[in-house]
Amino acid sequence: MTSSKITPKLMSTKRQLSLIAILCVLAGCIEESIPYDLSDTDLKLDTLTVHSFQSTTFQSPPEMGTLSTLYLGDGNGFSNQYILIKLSNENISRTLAMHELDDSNYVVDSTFFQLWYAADSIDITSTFQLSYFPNTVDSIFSEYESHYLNPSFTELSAISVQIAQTTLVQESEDTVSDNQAPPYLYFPIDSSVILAFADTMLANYTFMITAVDSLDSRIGFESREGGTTLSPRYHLNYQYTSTDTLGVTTTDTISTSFLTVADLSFTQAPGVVDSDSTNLTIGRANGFKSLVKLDIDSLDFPTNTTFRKADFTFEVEEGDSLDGFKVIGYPLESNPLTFSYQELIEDSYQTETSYFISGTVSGGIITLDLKYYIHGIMQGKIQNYGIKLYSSVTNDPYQMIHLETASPDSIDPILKVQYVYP
Amino acid sequence: MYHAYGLGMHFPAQDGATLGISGTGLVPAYRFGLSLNNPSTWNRFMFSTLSSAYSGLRVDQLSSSVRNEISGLDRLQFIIPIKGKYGFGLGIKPYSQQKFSFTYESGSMILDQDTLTLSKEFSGRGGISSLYTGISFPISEKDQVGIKFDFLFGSSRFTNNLLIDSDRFQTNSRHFYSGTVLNVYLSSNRFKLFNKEIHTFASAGLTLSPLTVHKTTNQLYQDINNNGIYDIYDFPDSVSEEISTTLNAYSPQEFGFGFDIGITESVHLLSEVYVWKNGANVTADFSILDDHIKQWTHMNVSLVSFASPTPKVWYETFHFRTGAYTRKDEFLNNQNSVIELGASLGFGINFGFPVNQIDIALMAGERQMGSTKTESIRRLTVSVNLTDIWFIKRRHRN
Repeated sequence: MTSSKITPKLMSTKRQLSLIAILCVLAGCIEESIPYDLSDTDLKLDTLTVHSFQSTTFQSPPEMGTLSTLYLGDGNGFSNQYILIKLSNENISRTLAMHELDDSNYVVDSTFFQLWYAADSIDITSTFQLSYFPNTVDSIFSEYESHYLNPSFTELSAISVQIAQTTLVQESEDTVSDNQAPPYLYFPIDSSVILAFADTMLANYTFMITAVDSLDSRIGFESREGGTTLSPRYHLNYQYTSTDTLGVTTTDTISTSFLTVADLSFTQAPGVVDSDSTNLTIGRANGFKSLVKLDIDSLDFPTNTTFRKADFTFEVEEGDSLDGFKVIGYPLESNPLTFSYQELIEDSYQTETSYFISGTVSGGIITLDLKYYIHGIMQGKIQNYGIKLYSSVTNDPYQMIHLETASPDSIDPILKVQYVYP
Repeated sequence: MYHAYGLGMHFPAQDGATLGISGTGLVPAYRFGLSLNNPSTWNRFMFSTLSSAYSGLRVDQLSSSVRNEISGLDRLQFIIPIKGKYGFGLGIKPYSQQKFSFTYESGSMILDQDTLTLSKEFSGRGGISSLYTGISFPISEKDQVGIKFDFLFGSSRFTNNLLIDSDRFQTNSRHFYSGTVLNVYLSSNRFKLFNKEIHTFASAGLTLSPLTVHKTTNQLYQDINNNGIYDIYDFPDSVSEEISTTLNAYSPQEFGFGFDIGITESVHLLSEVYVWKNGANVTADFSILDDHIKQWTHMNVSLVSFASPTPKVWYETFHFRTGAYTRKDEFLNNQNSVIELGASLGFGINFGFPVNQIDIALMAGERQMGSTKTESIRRLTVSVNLTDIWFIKRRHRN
């Protein structure tokens, strides 16, 4: 037996067969279930209910920030006396900063401020006043924190300077597109205002809008939250002169606008009635918020438990008439000092920024989803100091809801937890 | 279902020749005096041999119409004889396999006035693989010794699910394995019966480094987007991972004895007994069935008609094999043993030069637990063995 008998053809066949064998890692499988008693294996579902909790309602000055409408006028006991609007210090294309207008190369031709009315047609003839604050260095307001007590209308009146007055106007109907642009307020502005804004010492860029005569009904204007198209804006037509290296001077006429970075209407709420303080009351324009603390500290869940549901259910006093009303909340950062009704000049209850809670009224019942909140507590990531509940910005801010807590005719509030554990 | 016990089902790697005699590989059925699975015979190989085996297994549940099938590459092995005196082998094969999926329908339950439908799903896949190497050498004119090391490695993934209506709650865990098993083989032809030479074979195995299992388990979570893995859409927004290590998780001890009597020059009667025992008792905790196979015993009796080394007619190039076997599996917790009875039929064809071989075997059997027949099994294995005179200096033709 010698190697001379091994032909190239045979070696080739062997190599192919080797390759087939090595590559033959094809694995197929058909699986079907096998009957076997697995009832006592891992992963079990259990449930518990909690009836015990503390709660209260408090009223603080209404926080009207981030709403899609800016309100003016009185109605149903509410008073909306003024609107503040803060402009961006850069134009919409971010090519021009407000302070650059102080440069002699810029010559302002005309400017005006435009605020869109939140209705399809003009239904009032009132006159509106535009003012600004040329002598105030600091920021005038915060969209998220300011309210009718801070800054008050009295304080603002003392430092504001009137710019212009106007009434609602509306463009004629576009016959081509068949679209009717909504009415708006058009305030022509003197170039001296621009020079004040261009002063680097002035950083507030803020306008105030009021009604010259008091309005006997509540009206609305589009806020920046309604979208860029109808956002309040400051228009500017100017000429820019530039000189190149050869000494040739060019002058361009340019139109631009500055959008809004913060806007807020200041609402003063009507008085309180008994049902507001005896129930859990939630309403944005009323300034009603509620605090709830569940008695869950003693609950002992198995290790590695995760939650399927943690639904906290209330009956709504208004029944199904407020279906769709959304309540939101966040965990409190510290224990409330009291669970009695309070009227506060400032909402001092600080909350976590995570563990969002929400619920929407349906069929006269609201169910708050506390799954993430309870899991956070059980994981030790947050403490059970309670929850602050308030009205979502998607609601009509002038609606309020009463959650039944102790009415003999209503279903008691109850927390139902379904949990799974290994 | 065996796959769900302990760390999976351990079984001897059955190539086509071994399956043809219903054996475990201890007694030689590949060719006369040669076994691919018994290192003490490797020094008798005349040529280097590259072998691979592909198997398909079908298991029918007798109490229902349920059928499970699995197929795949069983092994890849290379044996090199050295100077006709020593043998060396290297290969890779599955050592134990886990591939199971159970569903448990818990029915409906009323909870907080909600009617919930509950079911559980358990699945696992993976297993322990072995990268093995062995040597063989003679210790006397009639006795050979083989030593084989199995370096165990691999991993398994497990998923436990509880489905409540459409909500899926899941834990995932993963095992990583490492360990070493030593097997010593002895073959001898010093015994005779009625003037016929009896070839005897024995083996013993123990763990050199008991199997260590590193286990990682994800905290229970709700698989909100039902994709089977934890991601940013699931609840809670973060899950911890628990890591544990189990030493001495698996400590197999193996014993085997077999013999080969030549009835005629080509027809041989073979038989063997093999016992595999797990000396550790912690792997039941790894099983969803809370049990593991503590011991299995295999016995078989077989007949082989080997092909002629110098065939004169075509049928002399064929090996014919048949055998019958019984296997008994005993569990740590379950008092009922599983008895498996079966028979096999196989043949091998020599072809080419030096002598390549294809072996095909079919085995059929039944399993019964207690007095109840539970499963019918069919196994088909095809192995391809390619030989050559690799690593030998060749004379150049002038």
